[in-house]
Amino acid sequence: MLSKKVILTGSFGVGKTSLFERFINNKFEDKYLTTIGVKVGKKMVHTEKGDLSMMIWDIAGEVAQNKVPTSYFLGTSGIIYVFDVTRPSTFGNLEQDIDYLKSINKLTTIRIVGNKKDLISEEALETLAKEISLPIDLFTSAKTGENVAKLFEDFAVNMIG
Amino acid sequence: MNSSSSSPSPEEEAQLLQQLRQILLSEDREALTAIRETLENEAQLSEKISPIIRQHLDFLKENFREEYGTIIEEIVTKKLSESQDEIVNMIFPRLNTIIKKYITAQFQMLKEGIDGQVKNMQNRFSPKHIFNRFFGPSESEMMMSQLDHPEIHEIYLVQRESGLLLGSYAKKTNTDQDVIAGMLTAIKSFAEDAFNLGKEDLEMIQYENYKIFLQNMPAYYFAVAMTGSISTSEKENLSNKLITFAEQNIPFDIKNVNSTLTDQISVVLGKDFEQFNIQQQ
Repeated sequence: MLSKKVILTGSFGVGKTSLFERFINNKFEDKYLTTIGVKVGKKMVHTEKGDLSMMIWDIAGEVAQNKVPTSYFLGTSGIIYVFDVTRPSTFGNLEQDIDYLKSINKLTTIRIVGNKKDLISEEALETLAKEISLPIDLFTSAKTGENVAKLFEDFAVNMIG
Repeated sequence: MNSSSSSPSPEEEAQLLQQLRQILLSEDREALTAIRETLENEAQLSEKISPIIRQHLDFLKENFREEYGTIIEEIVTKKLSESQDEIVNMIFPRLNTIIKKYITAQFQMLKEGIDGQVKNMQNRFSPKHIFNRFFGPSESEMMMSQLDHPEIHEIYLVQRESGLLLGSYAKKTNTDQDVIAGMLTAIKSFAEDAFNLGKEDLEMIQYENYKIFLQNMPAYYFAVAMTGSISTSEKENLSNKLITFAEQNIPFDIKNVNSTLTDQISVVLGKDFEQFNIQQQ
């Protein structure tokens, strides 16, 4: 069984830890607790292509340079960039952030995910997807669990190759 | 004219009263003037009052405990019990430093004592003694290390950048070793980044009596969890052993980390380190 490192990154309060907890422990908490530093978790993902031991790093706060040690992004097979569909400030620097992540690790696969989809309508989501300059891979809700497993499982399939 | 039978006029009466007052109160007035002068003159007042105050002070000095001891004791006890946290916070750092200094000094004295005794007993011209004197650990180091000898509990072999576990050995463990490998890598990366170590590596993580010795290699690192004191020569022994193990057992270029590889490395790691004595070269 293969082991791969995946990183969850994005602005503070977008729901990275909620996605992490929902996927690993199938739990969701409404109260917001900021992540200190980094949290590492493991989940066995079973796919039609085989099993994968996914080591998920939930990184605190920002994407920007000087705020997160660059070395956290090294050796990753995948990066999940999370933004909050209700807060434009969390996808305002999307292009710049993605360019930065690509510059650190050229070989890694990056997924762009809009979280908290339960808070806005499907029409609003469609409009938002058109407004954002880069293609959004998936809209998720850590609260309801919608598309969370799909996000990681699709990623696992991609990483197994 | 019979003046004695006639009553005095009001003016005469007032005059007579004034004369009478002067006769009767003259002594009192003098005394009052003397008191006023004494009160207004600091030197005179001090001369009068000082002996009294001194007498009271002497009494207090002799009887303070009996007179006020209980009241003050109650106030201090109450104040101390109300401010325990503040007192501990205030005293603790200082106390800690004093204890550390004391222990260090006592250990130093003990080491010097052992060295002195061993040197007296030993044949000063034996080849072993001459070699040890220049290249080996000191006698005190050897004796001290036996008192608090290092013991390896767990070994992790971790891919440097990804933090993925390549192999492990543990006497007993209840924890998820993959997660520990990831967290160790995160801590290591954070420390190296935060302190701008650049190409330098974090070599030791320590809490209380528990230490994690880190042996860094280009593509991976070993994390050895141990207890006890480790001397420089023991560190060197461990380091040499880990490097030799890496040269003999770990593939040069690991592209994919998988459970087959991890299991193979873990088995060899266990065999190699189960009986390893860090104190023997």
